[in-house]
Amino acid sequence: MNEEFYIGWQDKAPKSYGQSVKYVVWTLVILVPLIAGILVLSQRGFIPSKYEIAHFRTLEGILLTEPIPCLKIPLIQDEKGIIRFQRILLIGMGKKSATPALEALAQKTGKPLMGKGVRLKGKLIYYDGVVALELGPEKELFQGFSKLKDVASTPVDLGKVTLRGEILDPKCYLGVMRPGEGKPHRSCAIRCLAGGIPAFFKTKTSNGGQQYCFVLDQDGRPINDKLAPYVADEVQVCGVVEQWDNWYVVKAEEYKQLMPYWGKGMVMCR
Amino acid sequence: MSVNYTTVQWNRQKRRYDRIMGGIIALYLLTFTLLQLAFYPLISPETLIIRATGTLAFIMLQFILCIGPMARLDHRFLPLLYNRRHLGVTTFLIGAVHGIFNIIQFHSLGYVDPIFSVFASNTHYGSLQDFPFQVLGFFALLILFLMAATSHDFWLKNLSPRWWKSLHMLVYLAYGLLVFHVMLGAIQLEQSPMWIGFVGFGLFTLISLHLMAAGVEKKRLQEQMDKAAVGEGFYQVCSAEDIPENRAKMVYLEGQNIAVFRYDGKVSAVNNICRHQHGPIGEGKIVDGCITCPWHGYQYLPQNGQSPPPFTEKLETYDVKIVDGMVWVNPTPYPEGTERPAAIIQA
Repeated sequence: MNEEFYIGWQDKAPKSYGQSVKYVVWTLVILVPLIAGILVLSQRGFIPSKYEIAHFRTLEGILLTEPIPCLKIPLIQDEKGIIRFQRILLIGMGKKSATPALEALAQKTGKPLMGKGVRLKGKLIYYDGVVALELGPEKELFQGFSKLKDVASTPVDLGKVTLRGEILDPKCYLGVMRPGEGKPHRSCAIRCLAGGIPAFFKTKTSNGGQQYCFVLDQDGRPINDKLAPYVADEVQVCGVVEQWDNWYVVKAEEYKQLMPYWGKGMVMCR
Repeated sequence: MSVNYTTVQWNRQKRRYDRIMGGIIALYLLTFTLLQLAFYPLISPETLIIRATGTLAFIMLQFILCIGPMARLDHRFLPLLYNRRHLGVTTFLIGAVHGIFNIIQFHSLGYVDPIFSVFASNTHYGSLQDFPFQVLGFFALLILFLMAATSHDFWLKNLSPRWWKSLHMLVYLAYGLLVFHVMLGAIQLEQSPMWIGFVGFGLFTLISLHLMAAGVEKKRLQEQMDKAAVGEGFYQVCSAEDIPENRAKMVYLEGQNIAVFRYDGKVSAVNNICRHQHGPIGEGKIVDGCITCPWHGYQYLPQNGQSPPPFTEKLETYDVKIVDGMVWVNPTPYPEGTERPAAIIQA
């Protein structure tokens, strides 16, 4: 039997014990960076979304407060005199929609703001051509009315489609979080939807790209509470797709999980 | 050993242990961060913190759980066990950073309380695939908190070693919760075979080490059962020559875990469970006339099971006799600290 005996409170460990600990420590010194490297390099990576966290911008456009709060910004006027607009999604601070801040603003200005030209200050969030503005603090949000006049955009009916993809919250996905999708992000997206941030749907196009649309019900009203249980799962949405300027909106008739709970099998839209 | 409570009873080995632990933690965090920034610079700072601390806490817990069986299989790993509680508390703190950042990131700034949100956002409690994995992490962190908060000897003494040990055995539940937390959370996003392999290998290693340690213990008990002979309440356990000087033979008789020590031409028997953290006294050694526990160096006198003054810990003692060179032990325990005459080994 090894006569050496280790006692922790003694100043020095016996030689054989010290030697073993040295081997363990050196093994860890080699193994630990190796494990860190393997874990880092086997991640799937992040999309180049952007949240201008430290930079406020003032945008001028026509304010639409519902069903999806946005600023319509005139881009160009074509040869027929038609003005093309870009819609910028408006989102409140934190996991909240823009609606409470816009209602407070309407009270403050004493005017209904729907369809009015305004200048609003906030932080830009954008990815893949979709842009959102996180509204700034109450005192700085409203930078005055603008002379822009609303030109009603006629939604373009693109027909009934069946889409497969993931329901997300646009705030996180477009840049506030990386990653802002998938199972680990599910709870956050549910919180955002519960806070009134519009439901956003990511689907793959036939050429392998991504396409995005907002999801409303058949009557064009938000259905965040009904969609919340499907967040982060692969779902199938059936409904009419409309184009609202640069946005696509699906008026969902049916939405179902493609990989539902164990044992229920696959369900399909009719 | 101590008669008064101090925050940390520092000694040279604890300082070295903590320095090495801090160095290896820093090495991991630095490597993870630098590689992350080099290969995935798009990661957000919050995600970097969440991933670095989450993976580190899981690795540390895995290592902590391996130390116990490693030290049982080979005593040369005992120095890793000596200051394991600092490793445990540090693991909790790193896990807490992961948990707090997650709660801030995913659950705060909404319309409901962030803690309530952990439980109420994802409500697929009936689904394995969609189970709210953050709840599992929350409860694992709660267990690690309870363990860290009660890690001091003050709690060991006041909760009683039995309850303290039971509470701290919950670490296995915490580990199980964390395995599912990782499998149902991060791995469902990353879907990397490396991540799955990493968790699987860790689990396999841990189970293997525990089974090996249990196998060694079972073999020891089996050998002892085969040799046992009974007479007048005494069990024949071994030849006196079988016990090395200043060391012990451990026996399990009628539900009693007994360590039979040989020293100075005598043999005495005491209960095999240290009053500190239930360490195996019989794997210790007699140093300066005292039985010394291999885990944290707690000491007891072999003839009466009492810690030398001013310490107050006491072990049960047993009657021992030697007949024709064979050691016989009566497993009926005497109250803790009862002096029993040692059996003399005839020349």
